[in-house]
Amino acid sequence: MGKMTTLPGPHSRLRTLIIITLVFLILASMWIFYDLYAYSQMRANPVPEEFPDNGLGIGLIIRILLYGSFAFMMFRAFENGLKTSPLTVICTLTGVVSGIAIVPDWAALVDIYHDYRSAGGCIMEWTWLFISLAVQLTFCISGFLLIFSLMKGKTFATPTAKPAVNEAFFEITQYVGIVCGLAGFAFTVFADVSLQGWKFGSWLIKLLLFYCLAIILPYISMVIFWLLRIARRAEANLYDEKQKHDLALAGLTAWLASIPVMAVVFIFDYADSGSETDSLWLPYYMFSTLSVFSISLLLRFKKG
Amino acid sequence: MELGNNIRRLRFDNNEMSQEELAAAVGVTRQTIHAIEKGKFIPSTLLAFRIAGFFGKNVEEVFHITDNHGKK
Repeated sequence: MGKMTTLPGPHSRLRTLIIITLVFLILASMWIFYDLYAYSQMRANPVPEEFPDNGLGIGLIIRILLYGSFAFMMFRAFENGLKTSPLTVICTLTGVVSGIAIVPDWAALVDIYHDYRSAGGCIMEWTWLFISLAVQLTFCISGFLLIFSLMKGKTFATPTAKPAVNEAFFEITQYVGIVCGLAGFAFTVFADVSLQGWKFGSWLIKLLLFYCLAIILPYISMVIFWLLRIARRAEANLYDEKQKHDLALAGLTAWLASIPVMAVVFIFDYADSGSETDSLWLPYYMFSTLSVFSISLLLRFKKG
Repeated sequence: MELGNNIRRLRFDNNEMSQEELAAAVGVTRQTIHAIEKGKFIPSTLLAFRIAGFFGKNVEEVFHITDNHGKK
């Protein structure tokens, strides 16, 4: 606990969140190795005894708890003047990606469990699960490093230079927006292409929209955090005048970019009118504008 | 024509103040001060007065109009 005293200022809540996150991080890191063992067992057996509601399911719950506490820890750290650094960015982005990956991980495990009984290969599902494990491992390593630097107080702005507007949170929000937007757009294209010509009920579209909601959830939670700050009036100015200027230009860019994107979506939908994937126009619009908006805003912010 | 400024020199004369410290003092982000110094962003009248006021100068002593070749 001696190192914890180096945290600048009164950070008792942050300390508590760091400890909780550290506990979940340790558990999640250990579960990566359990997952590896379970995957090898599943691949070796045509009818696996291990399936999602056993140990692997517990691992998913631990991950949900980890990402929840990690999000609260990061919000609190930003409030206390956390600066953006390559480590902060890598940790946040791998956290967002592996957090989003919980839903497709679960879906892949269920697919494998069912397909194995009919002797399916599930190559795509296995590839996805191992990529997801690699991202989780990167997140855990960067998470340990970030927590260590938070404990040391190294990544905080000096009290004399604490910004009036939370610049670091503004920057991180754009990185998260880019990841959520591009991941969501790629998922929508994949779903649209792979479901063309299929006959299915409206339940699948509802499931796809639920996946889209899960993908955009990290960005939404950051926006909610921002709105809560407005409600609590924790900062005198949420944006400064250059940020407002950049927001306006990024909004214009996103709107202009959405026109050709939606025109392409319209042309494909028109050619295949009546298809059940027509209702995917919403995620196309949402994720394309979010990607362009966040990229444009981040570039303007970085360019100065 | 562009808006030139002496902010960098004034910071230097003011105990080598950092962009971060000036930003905190006038209530904007470091990126905004950086953009103003580089002439990439024209501040509002209010912010120009705040910056000048912080250094104890008139606005004309901090900001000036230059032609495209950087001449005042």
